[in-house]
Amino acid sequence: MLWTEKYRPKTFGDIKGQDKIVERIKAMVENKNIPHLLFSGPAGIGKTSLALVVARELYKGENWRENLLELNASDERGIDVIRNTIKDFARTKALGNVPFKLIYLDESDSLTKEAQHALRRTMENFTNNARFILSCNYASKLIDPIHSRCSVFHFKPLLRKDIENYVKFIAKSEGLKIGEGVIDALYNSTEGDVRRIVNILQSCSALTNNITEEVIYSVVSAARPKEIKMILEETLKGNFISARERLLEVMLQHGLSGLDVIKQIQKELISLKIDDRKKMDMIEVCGEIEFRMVEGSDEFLQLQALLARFSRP
Amino acid sequence: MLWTEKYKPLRLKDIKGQDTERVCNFVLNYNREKYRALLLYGPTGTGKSLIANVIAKELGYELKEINSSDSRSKSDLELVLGNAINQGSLFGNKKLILIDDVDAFSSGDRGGLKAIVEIITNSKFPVIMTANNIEIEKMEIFKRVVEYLEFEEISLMDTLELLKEICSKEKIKYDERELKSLARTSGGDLRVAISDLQLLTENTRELKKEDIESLDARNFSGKVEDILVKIFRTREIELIQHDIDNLNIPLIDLTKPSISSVVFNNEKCLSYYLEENLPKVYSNFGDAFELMSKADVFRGRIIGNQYYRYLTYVRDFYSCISLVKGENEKVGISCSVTRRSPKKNFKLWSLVNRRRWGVADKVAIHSHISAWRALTELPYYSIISRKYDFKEIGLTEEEIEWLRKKVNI
Repeated sequence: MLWTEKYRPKTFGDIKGQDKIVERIKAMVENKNIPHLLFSGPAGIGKTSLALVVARELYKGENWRENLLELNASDERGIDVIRNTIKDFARTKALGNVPFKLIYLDESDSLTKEAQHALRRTMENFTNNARFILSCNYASKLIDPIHSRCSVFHFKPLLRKDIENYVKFIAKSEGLKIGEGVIDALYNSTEGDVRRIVNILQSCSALTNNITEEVIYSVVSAARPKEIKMILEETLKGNFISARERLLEVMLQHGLSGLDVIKQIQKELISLKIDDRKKMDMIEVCGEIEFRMVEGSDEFLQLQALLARFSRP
Repeated sequence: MLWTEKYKPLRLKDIKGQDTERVCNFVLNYNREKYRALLLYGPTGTGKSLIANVIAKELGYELKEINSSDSRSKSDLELVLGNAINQGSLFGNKKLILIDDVDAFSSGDRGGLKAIVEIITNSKFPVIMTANNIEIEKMEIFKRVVEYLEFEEISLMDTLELLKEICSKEKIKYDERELKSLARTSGGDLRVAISDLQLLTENTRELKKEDIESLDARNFSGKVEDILVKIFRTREIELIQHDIDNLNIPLIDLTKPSISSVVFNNEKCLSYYLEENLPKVYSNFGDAFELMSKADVFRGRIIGNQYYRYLTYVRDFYSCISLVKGENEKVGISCSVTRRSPKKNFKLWSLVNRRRWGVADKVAIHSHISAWRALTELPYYSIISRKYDFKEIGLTEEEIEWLRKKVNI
């Protein structure tokens, strides 16, 4: 079984690091009355887990799966699909003694503004039969009318201490030996994304039961496409055109998003064999370009701009 | 042989749809004319330069010509035209001076426009100038010294008439309706109409409906080429702005973003042409890409806020790309379209990705994440699959085998 599911929190008590949020939501669930909810925060810190727990606790027993509709805004093509699916789902009454069904819409910030307006109408139309839980990485990408219809909860990244406990818990159940520096290695290479941490752990366990810092780093670097570093080196040699072709290929073949690439470029920069002052400049450019990407621009064009700056002597 | 050459009018009476008489009179009565030059303006392919050539031949003038492919600084102009203007030619020939595309004088042609004003005020021989666009600021300089004569787009009927004539001479089978839509797509540019006709029928001697439909794409790349040339060769941001405003393709792709920016909907946008060609044409393309990048932020804002006025900033950034080129860059310009064009990439994308997405979809549903997110975790699943067979998730034998091979460790 995938550990990300095996060790996914099953009760409110299992969810770590979001105590205040959990407390408030738990109270709502106990009253069997929840408003529309909006969960925001980075990946892998418990947004989906909390939504699933809400469903479990709300519809105690077997019915919880039938009463929950899970949608992913970045996968469903277009708001029409979402709307129709929601319509079909919300048409019938919830099973059991809760008067409404639950609709969990993940990555809702990937919807366009238009789609968000359509979603807002849908939310209004089905309020009697269904409650929405929206989750997103950046709440600011959602339009105001959606904010105003939801209770908003900002999830915080997990503390190192919480992660340590979690990793040790898994290690104990799976019979793994955790060496020194492993927790830090996990924490540093994932920015606290617990899903990624668990995947890395399970990857390591496929290789050995004796998990050391080195095992972690070898798994992390094996999972990382090597090409990015080569693309950077190619760029620094002044071969911009071939570098960008390579980049296009890598993005297509590994399914990388622009943000994936830029994060990795940022990591690789430090180990390049160039003057440290130049590295400093490059990091600054890197940050600026990431900012522009988040503003919603063309990722590949922004990456080209980045490489073009780097290739300047 | 090019039909545009073959069927070029040789006599004045063959020139369709323009005020040939006025040009003729201007040349013949030059000494009595109030203005010292005649400025013919209008879209390309309406016969502006042609008329000067034909008149020179028909009336027996020696044609002195300067066009935009020549260098046109003050000293160059004086070198070429100075002698012609100040003294009669050796055998007493009459001369006609043609200065093509005066609106495309670049700032590299230093002092060029001033020199022209000087030349025409002192000229003893008739001067004809041509321009596409007289509404830009630097054309003000001619305001009091030239006579303007507008050349309009060739009418649909005249274009059709000419095409019919060529068809019968070349023995081309055609349907009237098809020929008419060919005439229409030329947009009043005879050169385009004739070369399209040749392109479509030279081998088959027949004009087919599907051929005409293939034309749109071709015509448009011609226009894009014009703008690329202007951006890459000149520093005339005002002119470029104007041309971008009149471009018949979008500046940027404002359609709904695809799943990834490396695969997108519409490649026929100026931005994609710029991105592809910049590093091939500019030696210092870092600054140019910086402008592209900034313009693209506005693209994001347009899509995000549906506030289309930001497009004007995109246009301005693109125009300014002409300013950040190095000195003396003279490289050939091709009109190649972006490498990440949909056709190429959809193929690659779907080949490489069918399996990946298949696996990612299944894992995604199982673990409450998007397929996109599952893809980024794929390398870990690959390592995990050494010990765990993913059967409960529903992966097939084949998929598991593929997954196992994906990462070496």
